Amino acid sequence: MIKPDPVLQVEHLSVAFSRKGQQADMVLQDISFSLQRGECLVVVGESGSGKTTLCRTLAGLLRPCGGQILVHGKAVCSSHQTSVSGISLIFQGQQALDNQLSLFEVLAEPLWARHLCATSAALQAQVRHLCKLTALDEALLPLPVAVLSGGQRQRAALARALAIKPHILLGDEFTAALDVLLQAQLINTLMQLKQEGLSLILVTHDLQLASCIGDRIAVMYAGRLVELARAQELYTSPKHPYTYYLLKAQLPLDPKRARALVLAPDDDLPRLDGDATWQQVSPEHWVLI
Amino acid sequence: MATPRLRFCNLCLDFVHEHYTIAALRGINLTLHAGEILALVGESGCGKSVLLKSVLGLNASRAKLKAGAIYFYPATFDGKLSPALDLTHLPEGKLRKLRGQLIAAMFQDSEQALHPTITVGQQIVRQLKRLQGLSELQAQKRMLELLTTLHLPQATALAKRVPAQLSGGQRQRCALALALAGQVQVLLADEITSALDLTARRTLLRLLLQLKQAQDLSVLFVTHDLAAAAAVADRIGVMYAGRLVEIGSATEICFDPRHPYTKALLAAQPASFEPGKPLPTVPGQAPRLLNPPPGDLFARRDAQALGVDYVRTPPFFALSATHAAATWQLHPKVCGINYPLCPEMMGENLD
Repeated sequence: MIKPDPVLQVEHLSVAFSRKGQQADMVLQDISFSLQRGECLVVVGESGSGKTTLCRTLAGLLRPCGGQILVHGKAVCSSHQTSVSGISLIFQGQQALDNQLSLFEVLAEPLWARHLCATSAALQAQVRHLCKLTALDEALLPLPVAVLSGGQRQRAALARALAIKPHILLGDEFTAALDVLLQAQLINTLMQLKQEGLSLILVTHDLQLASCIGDRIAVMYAGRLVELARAQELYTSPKHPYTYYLLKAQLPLDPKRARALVLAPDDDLPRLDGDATWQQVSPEHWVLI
Repeated sequence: MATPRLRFCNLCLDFVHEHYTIAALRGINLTLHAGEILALVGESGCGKSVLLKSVLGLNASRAKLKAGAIYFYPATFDGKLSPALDLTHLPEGKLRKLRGQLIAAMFQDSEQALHPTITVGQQIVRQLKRLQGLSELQAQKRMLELLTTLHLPQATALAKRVPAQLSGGQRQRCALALALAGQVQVLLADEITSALDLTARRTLLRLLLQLKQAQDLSVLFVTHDLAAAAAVADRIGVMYAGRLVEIGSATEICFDPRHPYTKALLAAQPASFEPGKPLPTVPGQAPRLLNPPPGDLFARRDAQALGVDYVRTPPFFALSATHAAATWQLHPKVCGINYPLCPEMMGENLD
């Protein structure tokens, strides 16, 4: 059981994309949740549900049009404040690393920029420590990032995100481009970091993956949170029709059942009621009703 | 007896760089039958996409065929046996006539397959006119039929849009319509469902099954998504480091995997995780195929590897009429059962 010690509180967060001469497009609407220290919250949803927008907003890359984000009880609103407050972000794509730099430079850059290491020896030691944390081979340090494999690059991105000693790590589909064996390796690394007190928000479209790595799962649909519950509870007693729809659509690793599911007629996507409100139905179980 | 449609015989393919050579395919023996969906699974870099692209000669010019051949057995409608074509030695001109007409390919990124500024309808019409020699009117009609077959509602309105105005799932189905514009007998599908979300993925998988039924289409379905493979494939082939290591019916692969790599792959699928426990995985990553050493390359990541795994390449042992695996674990001295060898799966030792 995790003690209530919220590192992050999101209250009635809304984000809109506006274009000239057109009505603003509400991409996130009335999102509220909190994240405890050492907790892993997994955000699940299909493409277009607003998961990435949520991540980007929490990281301070997008400005909300309503609501607020509290880190350690203090409201943050600009990207500068967010990064200082200890939120790191890793993306799905691997373009985020500068191919010109060596792995050492990639890992040392945030340390330089934040003046986190006073001496060059301390910098060396810290970079080596990051490599150890993320199971990166130290022999790779002098190599340019361009020659690293997909799994190594994603580890490098993780190591770089950890360089500033964040309290919260946001992972936006960051294992989606990896093979299952590498994905499992990387997630095991994250789970170890979680044990040491790091709070995680991971975004994925894979509900099965979510249910085994997340303490709690948040389901997003059409820019709204539709359900938030402990992983076990969400899996066994989903309350929102969309959660139920998602659970039913997961393909099992059983040829007969999987084929039957593929051939079955499509269920209609549940509609969201515009007047629905975010309500607590039981302790730690929230639903949009 | 199933009719072969496409046959890979001891296919060995190298990527020749200035200073080094990468052995991407190291002796692939595989047959795709008529009206069969054969899934190829494996990690990135195992050669599954290279294998698929080699069918139509779509690999980069650095790719050099070292040995082997790919035979295509076109279906004829008068019942006569048509001669097999060796696709690896076909001149470019003849290969171009096959592309899209009898053998079509489809890739993960539908945005790149479609022209960004021409409406999707117009693109399909052009392809129909080129491949089937239809008139503008006939092609228009056929295009709308095609889009309707692919469960794209309001086909007329949709055909007037450009790719950017479509969702990922709609775009991928338009790419499928383009692929089906000829008289396609073999569809090469490379990770076509990987970028799609649940609903779109399911629709596309269902279409593959329906096309297979209705048109006797053979599909080579390359994916890293084992659940998708299990749902549509008749057989699943597992590749590792440029070799096929196991092949069997979808049920045999999912419930009775024999190669240690297949077992690891299945255990690492999210569907088989137990909450709260560390995820089962194997250390390390797939080897880069610069001067690959002999033996079973997975042995270096496998705790239960045998000494012989490092020295000799294992042969294929037949477990059933459809199931075969290349691992020394199935040798009579190891497992105590005399599984027969599969001579047709072992290219190297054959000649």
